[in-house]
Amino acid sequence: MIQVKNITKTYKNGDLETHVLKGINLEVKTGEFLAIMGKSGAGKSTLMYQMSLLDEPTTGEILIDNIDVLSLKTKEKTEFRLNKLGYVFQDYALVPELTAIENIMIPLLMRGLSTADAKKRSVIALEDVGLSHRIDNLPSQLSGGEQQRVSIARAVAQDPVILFADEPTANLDSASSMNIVDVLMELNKRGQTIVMVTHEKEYTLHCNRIVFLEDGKIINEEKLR
Amino acid sequence: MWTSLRVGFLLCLRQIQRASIWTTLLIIFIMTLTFLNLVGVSGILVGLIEGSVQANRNQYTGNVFISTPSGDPYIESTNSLVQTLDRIDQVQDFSYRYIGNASIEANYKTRRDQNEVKDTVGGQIAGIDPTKEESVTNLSKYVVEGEYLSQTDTDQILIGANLLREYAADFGEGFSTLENITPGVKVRMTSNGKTKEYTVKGIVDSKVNETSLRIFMPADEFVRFFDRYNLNVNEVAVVGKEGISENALKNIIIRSGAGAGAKVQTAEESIPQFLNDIKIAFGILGNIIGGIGIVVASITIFIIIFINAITRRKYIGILKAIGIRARSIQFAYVFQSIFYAFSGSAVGVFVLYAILVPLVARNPINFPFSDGILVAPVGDVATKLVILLIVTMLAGFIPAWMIIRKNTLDSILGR
Repeated sequence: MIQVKNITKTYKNGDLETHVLKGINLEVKTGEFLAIMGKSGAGKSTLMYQMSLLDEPTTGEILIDNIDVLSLKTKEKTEFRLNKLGYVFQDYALVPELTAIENIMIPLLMRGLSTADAKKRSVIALEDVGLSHRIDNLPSQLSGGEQQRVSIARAVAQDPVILFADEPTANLDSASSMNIVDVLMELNKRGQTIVMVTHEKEYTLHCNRIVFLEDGKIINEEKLR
Repeated sequence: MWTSLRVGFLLCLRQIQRASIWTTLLIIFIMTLTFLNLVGVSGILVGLIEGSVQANRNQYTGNVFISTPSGDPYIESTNSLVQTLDRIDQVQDFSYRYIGNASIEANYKTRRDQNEVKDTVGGQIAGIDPTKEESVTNLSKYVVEGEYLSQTDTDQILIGANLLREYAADFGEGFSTLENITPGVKVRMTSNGKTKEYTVKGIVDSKVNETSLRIFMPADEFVRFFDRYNLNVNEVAVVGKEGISENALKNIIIRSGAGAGAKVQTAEESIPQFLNDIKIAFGILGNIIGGIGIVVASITIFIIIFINAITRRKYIGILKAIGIRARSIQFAYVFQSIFYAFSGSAVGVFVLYAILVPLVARNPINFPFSDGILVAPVGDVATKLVILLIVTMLAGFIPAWMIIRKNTLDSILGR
């Protein structure tokens, strides 16, 4: 599914070079629920950004479904993200002017679905995350947990090959966090491949595998299921 | 492309719907002012001259003006000209005028001392058919004191207000004028050694010099006083029927042979060259002011969209991250600019045609040589509206393009 081959990421600020990723090799299998853990500054989010085509590594190779995604042009990357990848961000990342259902519909419309079909799929996605009663609410009218569930619904409505979740519970209370993890676990049970970045061990219990990062390197790997 | 447009339109629609209504109204108000500045300023500047041209047309030349070729004392074969004009279907009416020069003396009855300065003024005398003149130029409307001439008047005249001190004070001391002239006062007219006493029947006042600097008398009386027994006139003002252009009417008159031995011009052609020059200069000036207005409007839109886009940079990044094409996001901002420009212009068009044009038509701007109107031809206004839309589209596109091309992750993380 995903093959990360010896990637590095170096940020330059004048003469100062910061090596955030130092030769990461990683493979994610179809249907796997992978957690990336590490302390703050370990490079876990940076790794996820490279894997999810939001950023480009300094060196290395990334294959998704045997496609060398780093060789894609900017427009092709956008299309790839639209058609193959789903995102759940730490701060929900919903467009504030769009209602819950519209936030989910937008990428579907971009994929060329008719308004009716996009609406239908969005309603199902909202039902799946238990928010069928919040369809027409704006993000500002939803709690943090609800916003994150809308964000998950937006990602899964597109039926992505891989769902990337960047610390999806970071801004939530423990009850809402558990709820989000339950939703992700449920999706994984249905076959959804998930890569989740987190620094809280308790939310990784349902993952198949955890990789531990420290100082830009994988220092450990733990198989759970 | 269609998908990008559809998504862009939805994003734009929701941004406008959910934005502060007062901010939206303020932007639309700015665009309305810009539009009015664009069409209104040049419209008023051109209208000052156009008002003069229209007044000239209505009170002096008609649609087509036939006059004496330079060097000739009058239009030869006037009789044949008049008969031909009578036969042309497209001619609604015409008024012929005899023109002569005379001096008018006012104080000859009250002057006790022979050394006292005579109150005289030299002027152009127009011999008119009062009925035809009324039909063509509505001259009686400009009689501000006394009465209009009748067909049978023999010793009565109308005198132009600019020949009278009471009316022409604004002209300054350089012009000779008559004093204490009111309807009923007798004046003495002298030309070619012939003198006759006339009673002032009325005073005509207009911003058209040919009306307010002339003395009018019935044509028959003119012929007798000036011995113009060949009945050849000096000018003919022709009014065309509704729907016929002045150029077409002029050509018809020339083709009919009526213009032989005369100068045939449209109203526009007959206005003095300096007025035409001023009209062009004012048009250019109006366009420059309007152009500055467009630049200001485009900068306003640029700033609005730039601030909007920069404050929403994170969301633009998120939209890009989830696969929304850059083109869709750009469309959203361009649509927003079009919405502001179009709404502002729509309000502007309403204000222009429903309020300003009729208002200025009812209360013309008082200009020394014309009653200024607001000229806003639909074609011209439409062209300026399209220019405004294109410029604002660009002003919306550029900042959106600048923000959208930034790195997606940097946008999301606010780096």
